[in-house]
Amino acid sequence: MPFTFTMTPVDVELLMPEILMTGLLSLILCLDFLFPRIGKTTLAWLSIAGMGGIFLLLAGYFIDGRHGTLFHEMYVIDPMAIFFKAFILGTTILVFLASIDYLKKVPVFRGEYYFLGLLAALGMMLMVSANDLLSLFITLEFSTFSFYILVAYLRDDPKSNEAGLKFFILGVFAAGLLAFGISLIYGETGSIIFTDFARMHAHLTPGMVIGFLLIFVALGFKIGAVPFHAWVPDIYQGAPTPVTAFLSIAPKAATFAILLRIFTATLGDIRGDWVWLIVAISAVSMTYGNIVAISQKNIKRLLAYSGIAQIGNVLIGLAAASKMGDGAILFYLMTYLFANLGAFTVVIIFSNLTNSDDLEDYNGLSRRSPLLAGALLIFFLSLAGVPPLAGFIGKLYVFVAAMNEGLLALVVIGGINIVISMYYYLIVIKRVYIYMPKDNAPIPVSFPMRLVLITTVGGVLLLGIYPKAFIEISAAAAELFSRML
Amino acid sequence: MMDHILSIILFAPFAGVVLLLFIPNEKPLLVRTVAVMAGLIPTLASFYILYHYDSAAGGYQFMEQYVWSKELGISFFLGVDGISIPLVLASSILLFTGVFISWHVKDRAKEFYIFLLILAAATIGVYVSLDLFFLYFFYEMSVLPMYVLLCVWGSHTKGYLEMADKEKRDSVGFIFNFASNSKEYAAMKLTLFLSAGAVVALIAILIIYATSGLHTFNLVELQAHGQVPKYLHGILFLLIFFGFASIAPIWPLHSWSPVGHAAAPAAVSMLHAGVLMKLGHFSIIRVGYTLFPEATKEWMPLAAVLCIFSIIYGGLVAYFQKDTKYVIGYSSSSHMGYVFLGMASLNVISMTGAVLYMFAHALATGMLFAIAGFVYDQTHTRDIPSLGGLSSRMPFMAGIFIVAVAASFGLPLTVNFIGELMILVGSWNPYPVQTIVAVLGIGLTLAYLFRMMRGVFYGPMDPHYAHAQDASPVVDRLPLLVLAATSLYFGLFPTQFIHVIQAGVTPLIAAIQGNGPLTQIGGSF
Repeated sequence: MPFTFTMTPVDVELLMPEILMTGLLSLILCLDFLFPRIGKTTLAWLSIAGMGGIFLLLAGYFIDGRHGTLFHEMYVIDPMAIFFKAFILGTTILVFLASIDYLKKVPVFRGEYYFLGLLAALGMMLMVSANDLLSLFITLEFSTFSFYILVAYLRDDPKSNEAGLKFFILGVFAAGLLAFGISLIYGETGSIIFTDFARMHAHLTPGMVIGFLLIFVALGFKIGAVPFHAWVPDIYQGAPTPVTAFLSIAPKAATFAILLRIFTATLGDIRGDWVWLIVAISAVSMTYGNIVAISQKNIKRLLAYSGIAQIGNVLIGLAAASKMGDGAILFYLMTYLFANLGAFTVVIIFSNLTNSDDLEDYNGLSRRSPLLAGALLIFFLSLAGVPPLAGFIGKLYVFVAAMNEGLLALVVIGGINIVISMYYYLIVIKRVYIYMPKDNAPIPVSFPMRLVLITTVGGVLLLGIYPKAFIEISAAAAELFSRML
Repeated sequence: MMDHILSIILFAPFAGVVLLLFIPNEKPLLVRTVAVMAGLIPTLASFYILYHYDSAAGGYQFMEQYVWSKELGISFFLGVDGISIPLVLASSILLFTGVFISWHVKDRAKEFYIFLLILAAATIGVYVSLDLFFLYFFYEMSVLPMYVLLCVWGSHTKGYLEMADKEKRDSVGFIFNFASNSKEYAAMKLTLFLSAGAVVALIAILIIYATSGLHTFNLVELQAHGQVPKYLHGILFLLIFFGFASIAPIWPLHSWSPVGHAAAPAAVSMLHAGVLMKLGHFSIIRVGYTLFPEATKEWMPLAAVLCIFSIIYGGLVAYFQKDTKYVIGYSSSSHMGYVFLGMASLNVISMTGAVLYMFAHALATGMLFAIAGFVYDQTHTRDIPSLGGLSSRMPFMAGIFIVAVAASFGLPLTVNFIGELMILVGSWNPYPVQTIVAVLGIGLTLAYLFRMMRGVFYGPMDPHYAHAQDASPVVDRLPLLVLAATSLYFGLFPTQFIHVIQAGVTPLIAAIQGNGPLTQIGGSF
């Protein structure tokens, strides 16, 4: 296939968010190098403002319903992609806000942090538009490389270095599997474009099965589903907490965009052949994550296992593989974004003062800072799925979608897991509200942190009490996605 | 405004919560005033509903409906019928009186009232919801405030502090350590039990949603046009029954309940025993009875068997308790057996009696818990053997306790009597054995309540408690007088009440009994 590179003005317009993002991150890098005296906090606010602008641009694209393909269908812009791009930008904005205080304690390379964060965000923005296996591979590695550096960012902290190394080795291994899977599929079908597979209606050959399984393993690694979860707790614990927060949401969401493209769009016709796989992975992830979370003594590890369980919940939506299931995934990810990021923000604020992530040190938090305690209560109850908070609607949405496809067993397992998860979330709440603190010093909450907390608490409450608008957004994104095939 | 009266009842407490968030804890009187208003408005509005419900027309009235999510088939749909009106009224009254009962809460009073209001509002929410989603939404929402209320403002059972060592409290196996008497244990047990029950019910609700062919949670539509396959009716009814009966609590799912009662602060025990437990009966009627009438007829005899264990087991255990709140807690689970008996008999008289009894029990048990809480505040013990002779120190409380005991075992003149009698009369025909046992249960009630009365208020007084004070004129006496007066008032003038309840019960029973004869025993009152 001769490759001609032509871009019409329409194409440029479709790529505008990424082009602007590239400009923004170059600007940040240059400013940091050329004018070292610019405060790093200024750089953070500058990147946040830039991303805010791009976010609005994407919102405009979403409302206009822009769509199209670029580069011989290798790259696609549809409402689903736009949704995920905005999702990733929103996450990055909140993570940057939450990083400002944290970075003040890091002695060097504070400017590069924002540059790398933007780079990772750009990688993921490209990734959610990937419509073929090659661009998937490139964009996935693109975003992951920034994360390798970010995870190991605290160079004087052995735990952070260890986490970086582990993440790198396992990540490269997953990349190898991905590449192997891609080569098998290309060998079998002669194509790498997702939408081509759907058009071919090809029956599965053994080579294709192994190929797709390998790709699924690599993607399963990215979302941290059991049994590909082994890296999650160590890396969550070792990485700088804002990076953990970033890592726990954005790459997972981006990977779900790919999973949706592969499973519901490309392989939707043969759902019967793969649904058991997703059902099993989902059930095991939920159950394993929740049960192991019970015995955790470190809040970052607890959130890591709770995250594994939450991913299991999202996979319920994938198993449904319907329009409603797609919408449920998008909605669930939004609820997960607010609750999980909020919980990590509390952890960041707390560890900034105390340098500790031990659950024991959270004893009596409500007497030291009623704001943080109340926020943590709301985030944890939302993660547990208690009305009237976002998590409840999210869980109900995926359950309803799964029920409509007859996945009763999975819904029952999900229901049991709600009860299990409630136990360990409540244990933390008990510490926060009932036990006496060892140290009575109040915990100050700075302005950017307050901003993150307000946004996330507001999001959790809004999505819980009045989710109508958000359900409509996710349903619209899913609807158009399935119609454009 | 009267078109939105249910919204007013439901959202007045929530508005109170929002107001309280902006009031500093340093203004205790303002905090309590807001809470009182948040309780008073729903109470007055509930009385309005009781007297303006058109019992000739029957059915759901005061309906309000707003589409909440088209995609999921959920609408915010409110309405009451004869079965829910008494319970809405009971919830409002208990909230109103509960605010006064907890007037002396000192530690983080604002947060206490916030959680109390959420608890009461969520309970009311279940009673007025005509959408399965919101029924579950409010049901689950009512459970979580209980956890915080018990944990933070509750009290350990006697003996806990001697036993507790820190190691054990922090261990993972704590939940399985049944020897613990701590409030944290009680709270965790309660939350997990009720959440598990709720999840069972949720699964049933989702199956109904998916199989009815309507893809809606709208209960009225499901009742009218639901196409749930026949072979699922039995299993769905059982899921709903056991899911919701865990909160009712039916034997053998009751074990969380007395522990929870004992650990909770007085006002929370009142709401818990008074209206939270009735969520179970109500939801079984609202969802199970209306959607699966045939399965109801088939399976409710099971409840008639289980309720006997509730009545006798609860009563016997109550008799041997030394802790005042355990006595009342077990008495509540025992009395809930009567409601199940009334529900299982499936005729108009006994069903009406069951609904009336739920209301009556809320008042009586509310008084008992309030008094037990007051005595605990004054003496810092709930141990019956170490108490005694308090009637000389607190004559008012001793007097009102007699009223509460009388109401509890159903002395004529109290509304409990009418409810109890209707249940027994109605259940004689279908379940004579159970009815005899239930009558024996009344004797048991008398025994343990008199034993408690003697132990706490009469006999020699420990000089240790000589400093105990009687109830203060307004704050402590008003709530008890309100409860007692309501019980007596409806005991003397039950007509309107019974008409309203029968308007809800009669069509339901007709549907369940199908073309069969309507068992009309005795006359109506």
